[in-house]
Amino acid sequence: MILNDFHGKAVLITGATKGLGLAIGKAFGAEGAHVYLTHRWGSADEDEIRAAFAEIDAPEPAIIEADASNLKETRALLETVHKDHDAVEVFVSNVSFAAVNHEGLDGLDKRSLFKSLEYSTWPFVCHVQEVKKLFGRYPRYTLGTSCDGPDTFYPGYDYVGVSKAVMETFCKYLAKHVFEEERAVVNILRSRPVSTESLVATFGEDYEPFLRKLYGDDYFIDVEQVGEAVLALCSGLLDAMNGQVVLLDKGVAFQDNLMRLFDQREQFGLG
Amino acid sequence: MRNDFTNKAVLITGGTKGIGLATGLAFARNGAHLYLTHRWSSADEDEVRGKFAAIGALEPAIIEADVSVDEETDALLEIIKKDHDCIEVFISNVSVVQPASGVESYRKRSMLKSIEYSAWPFVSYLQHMKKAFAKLPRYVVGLSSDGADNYFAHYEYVSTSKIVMETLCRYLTYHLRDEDIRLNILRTRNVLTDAVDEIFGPNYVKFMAERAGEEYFLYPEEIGNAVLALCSGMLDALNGQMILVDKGMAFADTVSRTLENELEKKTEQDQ
Repeated sequence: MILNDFHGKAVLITGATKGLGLAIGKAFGAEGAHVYLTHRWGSADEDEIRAAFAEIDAPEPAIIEADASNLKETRALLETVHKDHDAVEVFVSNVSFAAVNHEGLDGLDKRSLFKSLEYSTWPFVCHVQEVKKLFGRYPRYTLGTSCDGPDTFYPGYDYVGVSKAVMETFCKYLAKHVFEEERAVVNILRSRPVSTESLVATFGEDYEPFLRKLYGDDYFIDVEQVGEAVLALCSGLLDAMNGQVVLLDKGVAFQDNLMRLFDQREQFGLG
Repeated sequence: MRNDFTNKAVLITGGTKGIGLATGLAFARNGAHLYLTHRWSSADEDEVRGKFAAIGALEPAIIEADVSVDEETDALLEIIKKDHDCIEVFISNVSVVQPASGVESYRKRSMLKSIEYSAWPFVSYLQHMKKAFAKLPRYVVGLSSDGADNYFAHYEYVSTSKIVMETLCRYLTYHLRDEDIRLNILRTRNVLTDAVDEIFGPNYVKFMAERAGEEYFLYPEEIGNAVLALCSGMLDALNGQMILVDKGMAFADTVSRTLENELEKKTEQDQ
């Protein structure tokens, strides 16, 4: 059903040795792509990742330490890709590292905002620029991973929401430019809560069990579903989609409010 | 997670022309058994069958059924029931609306008629399917446009009926949350179908090509592929969403951009 053949094609994913990024990498690996997974500060268990790829008969991925916010390291990363490939077929900007604010208005400071933008937003733009410089053309598919934080309040999520909103706005502008120049496409995939290590890191241990109790298991989506969705966006079937923000959430965001909870209060034991 | 459509029933209303037909062909290419409806003998059946035969697909069933008449819906489902236990995919594509021309021309009857033909079938078909098969389709896609977010001349009734369908789609995701079903809306614009000249007159295509650029035309095949992607299994976590497939045109469709293009052209001419 997939129209594109990814065999031997370079797929670059930042922040990809765990959670969402890794699942996206495996989805492309299973299609024969040569996947480059980046991480930072030796945070990857490389043997485990290689074994996971071998298990699904995917080509061995390249696992590279590169700080997505550091231009020199980005250039070195792309030089490595360039040794084996003339083009980057897919670039997935997945890295996100934002400050958490639990102090209300007083807790907001410009430095934390700029740091969050530097790590979570700018790599999306910068990698596309650098790919163009080195390879002479844009990635055919650029995809940023996001969440519905810009539209919905999550506690502590101020900087994440802002960084993602800025990335999404850049997505729309980039989409116009790269499509008119090269018919390349840029899109954003937002996903609602996915059960990963970074969910626990951001919201704490009690978060997931609480939501499962007050919503049901359907609240969460599996990382594999996100991987498959990214693959769908790059499959060739959706080539006419450009500059869009797609929400992958099983319909949860629409239903996630107190009125719904009131309607189902007996089911959830809220009398 | 990839679906096998071999011999699965796929029902498309208004399926003998344009986007409906192209969507039918996309599923047929993957082995599905298509049911294409039309009204008032508007289909050239031999030509439609020829297109399916040309790609080595199963012969589609071409059935006359008015989406606004319950008896015709029941009769249609009875025909499908002879060969299938359930319908795998339902594509609500039919849209019949009247043009509006300014406030004084607005008529309640015109609005309600448009909703009856273009929005209500999305719901009534599902109700009738549940009765006939005791089972709902696994995938439902409603075809829409971005008319509710943008002014298009004479488009009042199209936009209002589409937004009714879209809102009902989202509410249905809540009511059907325990069923194995995904309901989504695919919005598109600027699709080059046979109907374009008929609707907008002979100069429209030339005008759009000169101002927006030919790269922003969409072709029915591209929309067909996008619908297939929504039902492919790769996007199973997508539910209750409106996806805009427009190559990024809506974002860039402003007078500012047109002016930028005109100035660029002028600069080129001056050189």
